[in-house]
Amino acid sequence: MSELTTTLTPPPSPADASHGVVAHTISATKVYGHDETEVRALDDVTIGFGRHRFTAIMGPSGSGKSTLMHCVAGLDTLTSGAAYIGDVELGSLSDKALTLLRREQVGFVFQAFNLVPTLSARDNIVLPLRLGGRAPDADWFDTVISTVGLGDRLTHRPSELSGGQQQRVAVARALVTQPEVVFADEPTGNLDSRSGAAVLGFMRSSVDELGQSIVMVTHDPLAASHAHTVVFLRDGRVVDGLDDPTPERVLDVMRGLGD
Amino acid sequence: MTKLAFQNLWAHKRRLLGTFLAVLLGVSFLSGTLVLGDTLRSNFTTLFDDALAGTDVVVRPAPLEGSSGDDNEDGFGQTLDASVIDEVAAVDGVRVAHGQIGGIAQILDADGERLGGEGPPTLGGNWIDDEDLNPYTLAEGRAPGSTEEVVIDQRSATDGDLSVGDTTTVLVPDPITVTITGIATFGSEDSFGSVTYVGFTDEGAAKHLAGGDGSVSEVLVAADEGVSQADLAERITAAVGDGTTGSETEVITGEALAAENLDSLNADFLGFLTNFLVVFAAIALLVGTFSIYNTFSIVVAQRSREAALLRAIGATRRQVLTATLAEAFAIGLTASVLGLFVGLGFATALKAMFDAFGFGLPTGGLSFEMSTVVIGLIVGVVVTMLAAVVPARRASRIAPVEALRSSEVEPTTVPRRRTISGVVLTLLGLTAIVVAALARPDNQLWYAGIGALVTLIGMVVLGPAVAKPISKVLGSPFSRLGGVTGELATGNALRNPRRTASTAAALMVGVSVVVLFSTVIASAAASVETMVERSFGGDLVVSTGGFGTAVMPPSIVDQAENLDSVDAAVGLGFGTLVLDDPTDNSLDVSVTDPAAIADMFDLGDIEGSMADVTGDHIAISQEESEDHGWVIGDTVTATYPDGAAAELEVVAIYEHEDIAGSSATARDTWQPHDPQSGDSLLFVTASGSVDAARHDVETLTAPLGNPEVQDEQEYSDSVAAQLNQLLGLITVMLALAIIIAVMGIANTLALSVHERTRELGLLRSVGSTRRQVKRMVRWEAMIISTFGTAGGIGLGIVLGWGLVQAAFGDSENSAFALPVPQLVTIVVVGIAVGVIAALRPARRAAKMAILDAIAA
Repeated sequence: MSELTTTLTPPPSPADASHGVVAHTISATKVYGHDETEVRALDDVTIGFGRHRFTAIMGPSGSGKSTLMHCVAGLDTLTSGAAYIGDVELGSLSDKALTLLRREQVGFVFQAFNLVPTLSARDNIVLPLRLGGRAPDADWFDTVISTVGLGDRLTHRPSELSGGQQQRVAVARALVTQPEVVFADEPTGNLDSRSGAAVLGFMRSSVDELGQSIVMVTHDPLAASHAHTVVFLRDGRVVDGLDDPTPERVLDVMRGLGD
Repeated sequence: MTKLAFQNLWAHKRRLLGTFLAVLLGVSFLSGTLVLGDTLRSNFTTLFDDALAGTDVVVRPAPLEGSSGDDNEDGFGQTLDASVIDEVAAVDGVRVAHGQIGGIAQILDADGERLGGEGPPTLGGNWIDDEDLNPYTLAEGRAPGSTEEVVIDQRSATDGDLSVGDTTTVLVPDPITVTITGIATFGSEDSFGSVTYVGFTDEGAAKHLAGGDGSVSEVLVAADEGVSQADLAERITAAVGDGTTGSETEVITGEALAAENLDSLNADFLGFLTNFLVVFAAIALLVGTFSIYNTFSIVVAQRSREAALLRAIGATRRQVLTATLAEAFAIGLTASVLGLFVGLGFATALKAMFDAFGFGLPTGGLSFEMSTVVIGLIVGVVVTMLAAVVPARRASRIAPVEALRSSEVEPTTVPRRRTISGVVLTLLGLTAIVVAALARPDNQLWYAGIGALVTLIGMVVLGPAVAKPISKVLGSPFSRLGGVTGELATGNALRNPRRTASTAAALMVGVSVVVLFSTVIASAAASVETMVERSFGGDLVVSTGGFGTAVMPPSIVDQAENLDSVDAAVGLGFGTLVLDDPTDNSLDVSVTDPAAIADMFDLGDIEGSMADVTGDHIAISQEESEDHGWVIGDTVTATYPDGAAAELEVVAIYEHEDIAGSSATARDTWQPHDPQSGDSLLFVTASGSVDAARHDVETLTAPLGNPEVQDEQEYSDSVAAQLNQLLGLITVMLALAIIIAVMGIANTLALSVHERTRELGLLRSVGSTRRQVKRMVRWEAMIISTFGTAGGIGLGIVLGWGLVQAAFGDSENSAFALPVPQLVTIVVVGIAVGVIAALRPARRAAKMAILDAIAA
């Protein structure tokens, strides 16, 4: 049990608040349907995600973990409350502004289908930059590429890469714009444990060595154990948190949540 | 399984909308043309039956040996001596027999302009005061009482602002001043179709239409009560069977004559019109077939896992195949049924269009016949199922294990074999076209036609193989200007070359036909221009009269020549001689002043002398000389339009046919045998100012209904304008095929967008704006449409060239011309097609909610 659940007063301070937060929500509430069919996917969630931190969001199915990530990432809108990336309140942005924000300040890694099949690995990585008409920063690009460790496979199409390689390309794509924050949704859900570990290791090192900030949704305790901090959701509320997690400790908390 | 097919159908109704519309439009066009054909046939049948309703028997001159029995253009054929009327009247069972005199009589309206003549003829005849024999009924006024009094039809009276008691001019072709004593209706109609009618007295008709020699065109007979048509015809044949005064008689019942008239209309006008329309319906259906094939291919691919699952749980291949075909059947049937009804609207629209383009078609309700229903349904269902067979077989071949994979069954690679056969077919087809165009074997049009078909098939087969490199080239400007969005659009066009190629193929077929027609018509216009440029000798030309309308009286030539501002004038009329030659039984004759025409025009090399063509002499073209083996001094044995024998000695042979035609004879030689003959064209050379001559000639010819007076450029332009009008009509007819192709592209795109939902979601989440997504879809559509347009233009030009060379390459004025303005328009339209086709799919792609897309 960390102090996280007890220190949720704005400005929110996560476990290690020395670098502030890259994204946060205030009283974030998301309701689907109405009357009898009403489902509160998020119920008054106030939380911050630390800069230069790798944060995992965990919880049983239907706990609202994906909804939280989608809303903070600007892919979905809140019913009430507010979500911020940096100082920018997402609810006030137009679709165009949100798109540009995603393009420039947010990186995404999805569970599957992360890459455009008609583009090579390299073109996929630089896609967000080129959509904005920007040229990649050569040093940073080299750094990212060398960390991905794809070498000569960069000219290959996604269909010619293994699942693990595809996910590493996706992470590189998420990092190439030097975004404020990278959101990853079950990035290793489709991978075997070895490929998964490689991807997670790469994500962790991008935080530790390259100074990125990552928020990852997962249901896998092993994956969560790569993070600096784990937050637990149930029934749309943040119910627990854990710093420097190990798989066993994560599993314990999850059991306590009744998953 | 059938139940599953219908559930599938319902579940995917949006996706199959494109197929549905393609079938619907194709079938409605087809049924529209059939309905129009049936409607016209039924209207004409009513008209023709009415025209002869009370006439039981007709006695007419027997057709000449070797002649097809058709009336020639200017005269109304042979005549009967009036004495035959009394002979017929004396036959037992004849209530009344009346000689009928028919000819051309064109009415001038209150403003002195010609009425009618836009297709249907302008007829004149004698007003028969017998309700049975005369299909016209007086609505107003009285029958004519003197040679200068007439009855006219109600429509002409209305259109020409003419009333009973008015005085107007009728061209026969001499302008005669007449008083209108009555206005008649044709049964319950205002006129006999769009035919204008002038009824003279017997004496008036004899004087004005028949040269006043007392002969009649035919004898109309009404039977006594209780005498059948067949009996009466037999009795009359017995009485007059053998000929009188040189022309044999023929006896025919009214019913048989009505049927005969209708048959000849069917064979010529209606047959042509129906075939003409069916060709366009077939093109629309062909284009539709591509769209249907494409939709089914994509839908089957998208449902491959479902098919595999069915196979895994025990469905046989046949069951999967049947389910897909059942779907095609259901779509084909539903769309065809609806198409039949929409076809009624098409028929109305087509008729309106033909009326707008100047065809005078009779009015009347639409005939929706069983045959239309049967043909429409069969064609619609068969086309849909044929187009669905290949995708359906593909679906049935899916291995059950595919259910566990996410791969698509729609093949994206192009087998080598296919590329090779595409190249071979295309080359074979092109070779046939080139052979037809340049070597011109006897059956060159067959070569050209089969070559065209084989080339088209070859290009369709080859399409997927060339789709990749061509899309790359077409996409490069987008990539260069549009950055990564352009690259993505190009990549999307490339990723499934088969889909891209068959989508483009639909447009290619449509565009190639448009280009083919444009090229042929541009070449025809160029040929006319060459001809006019080379042969136009005078300064001005006055032109009148097409089929069945009044020409200019021959006396106009002398009157024109007497004008101070005119140096020389030559008239040119047209007639036909019937030859006693079973393979080539008619000879077109230019009736003119042969010496003068040789002076004013360049007839090329002349053997003998045109000045000698007087009396029983004739001049012929080199081509006719070669065809018939006639040389100077030979005698051409033929029959004049009035049935008199002609023995004409060849005294001159000229090179160029473009003005003088196949043969030429003197006006004085011809006129006695064709009393209503006159000049269709009058060529004038000015003595000084052309404008002065034009003014004087216009004044001179004004009483003839203000015929057009044109200089060389105007004449050439007016011919080109007529050709362009034809091209306009054809283009309108082809628009439907293009619309179906557009819908095909739109449908393919919509399906692709649907298929790439997650990819679009990804693009949006990594920062593609809605605009960029829209652009990507639009550019992909533009690549496809430009691909199809380019293929169509290339194919169309080659086919057009082949056709022009094959059909007219041996003619001295033949010219091949590219329809440059039309080609530019087609390119622009081709690109616009992409933009239009992408409208909806692009909007849908851009509107897609990101979360739904990535979760899909």
